[in-house]
Amino acid sequence: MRVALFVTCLADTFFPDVGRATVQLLERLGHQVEFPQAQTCCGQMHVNTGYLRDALPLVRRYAEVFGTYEAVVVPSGSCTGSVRHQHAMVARRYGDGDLARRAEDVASRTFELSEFLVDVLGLEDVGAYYPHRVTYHPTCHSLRLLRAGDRPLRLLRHVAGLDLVELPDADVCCGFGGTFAVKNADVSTAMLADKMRTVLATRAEVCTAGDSSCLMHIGGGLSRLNAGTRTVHLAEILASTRAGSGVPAREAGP
Amino acid sequence: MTTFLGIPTAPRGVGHLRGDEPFPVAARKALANTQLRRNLGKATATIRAKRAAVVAELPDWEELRAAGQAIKAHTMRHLDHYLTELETQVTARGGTVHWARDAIEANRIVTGLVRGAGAAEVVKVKSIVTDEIGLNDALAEAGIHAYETDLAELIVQLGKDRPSHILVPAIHRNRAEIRDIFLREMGGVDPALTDTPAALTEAARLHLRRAFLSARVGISGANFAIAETGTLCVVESEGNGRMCLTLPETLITVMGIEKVIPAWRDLDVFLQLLPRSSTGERMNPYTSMWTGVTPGDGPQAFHLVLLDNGRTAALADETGRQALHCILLGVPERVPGL
Repeated sequence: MRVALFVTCLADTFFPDVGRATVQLLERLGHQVEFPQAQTCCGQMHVNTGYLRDALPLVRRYAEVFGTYEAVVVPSGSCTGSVRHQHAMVARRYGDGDLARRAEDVASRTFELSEFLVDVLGLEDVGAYYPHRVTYHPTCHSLRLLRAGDRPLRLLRHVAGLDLVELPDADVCCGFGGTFAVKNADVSTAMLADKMRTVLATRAEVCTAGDSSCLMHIGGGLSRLNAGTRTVHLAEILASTRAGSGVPAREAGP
Repeated sequence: MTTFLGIPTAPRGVGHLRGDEPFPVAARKALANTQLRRNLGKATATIRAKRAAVVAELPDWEELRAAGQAIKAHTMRHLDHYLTELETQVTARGGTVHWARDAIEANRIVTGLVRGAGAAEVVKVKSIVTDEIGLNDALAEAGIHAYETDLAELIVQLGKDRPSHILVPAIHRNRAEIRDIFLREMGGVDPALTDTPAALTEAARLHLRRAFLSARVGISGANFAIAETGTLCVVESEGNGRMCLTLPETLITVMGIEKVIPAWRDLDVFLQLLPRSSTGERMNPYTSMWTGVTPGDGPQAFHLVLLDNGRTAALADETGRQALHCILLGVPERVPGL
């Protein structure tokens, strides 16, 4: 299958290991992964803050860049949600019916990673090995917009060596919410405190999720507590094998 | 020649539609209140668990939600038609319909009606819309005392407080705090009052019974108004609302124009959705419905105030109109921790 990776802004700029892990996982499963260099942001930030017109060129670019692939895989529930629920709406808002139809077409072939593995490839066991105690936080957009359900949990249950522990009140938001964390920092931080309390109650070494954004928020909080629990994207866990983490060790900085 | 009258908007400076301060500022203060955070966390966790359990019992839950949304979308598209049908039906059955462009007009209409009935106090059913327009303040300016009769709204009123939640207005108060408020504000309460739910409810019952039996005017909001017969509907869980709806001589109902539904068969959908989704109950405890005036039974004067206060403006907005689909689920909760 000819698959494109839509890496997302956050993975591109802050968490490149998530992009690498997604490619390694898909290649290990026998798929050819292409990375169209012309890709940009999905435009969710613009739409969510009311700048719909500024999102229009990004919607157009997404349809142009990814329109020819059989499938587009995204290591983010949030950006997948934007492509699926916002793109056609933005195009229609500005009277571009043709773009709206193309946006709907490419959205129907755009999948969040766990959706792609379970629904498209029909896999639950991807041959991963990750000998750690792990808890899973279902992010709001994967849970409520995509309705990804228990797909990530089914994938995690098949990872050899992984001790999956249930997160209490898992469906409660971590408090990130994109610009919400900036505009309502106090409420965001209070929600984070509640989320960290439940994560730490699991005594997991690793908290995972399908979105780097929420993990950045949770991980930022945990690192300041020196709690010993770290955040790892689902793609990185699924990419790990007995042969190694799958992701090359980061080069030492200057 | 045509005259464009403009779309009414919600005026500033009246009512509680807007907060007194920006959300982030208010949130910072509230977050520092650890008692409040504990009360809210405990109460909302309980309600959410109850809701999840009873929602899971219905195999057609998602279809019911979709049906509710479709009914609302249809009604909003033909709102002018259904509102005039409602007016015709209410009027034909002995009620009087008033149209209020905004909070100021609605308050003026209601205050005038209460004065006209010669009443100095009114009993109120729990209602979000009268809080929206600040009716109690307007009545107080006219020298009329409004008794909140919903237990949680009574706690809020006696505590000189603001409701913290549309469903459960006193969710931020625990039993010990409620006991203190009753002892301090109610008057004539046994100082040995405990903070058990039964004792607190009994104190409220004695306090309210006097008001129920003496008030000549009752004021309510509406959860639904059925256009085809002009029938109003209020759902609540205590029975105090029904006292207000049946005992006084005059009943005044203030209703946002989005509460109209076309027909009785539509009510079937909402009465299944509402109790399970709001307070996690399978069936709503007290569902009161009335149609105009019935000679010799219940209030002998019925006034329906149809309120715009920015709703038409919201309807004109493609995204904003979704807010009018909200059914608010205004079902009162009992004492937190019960």
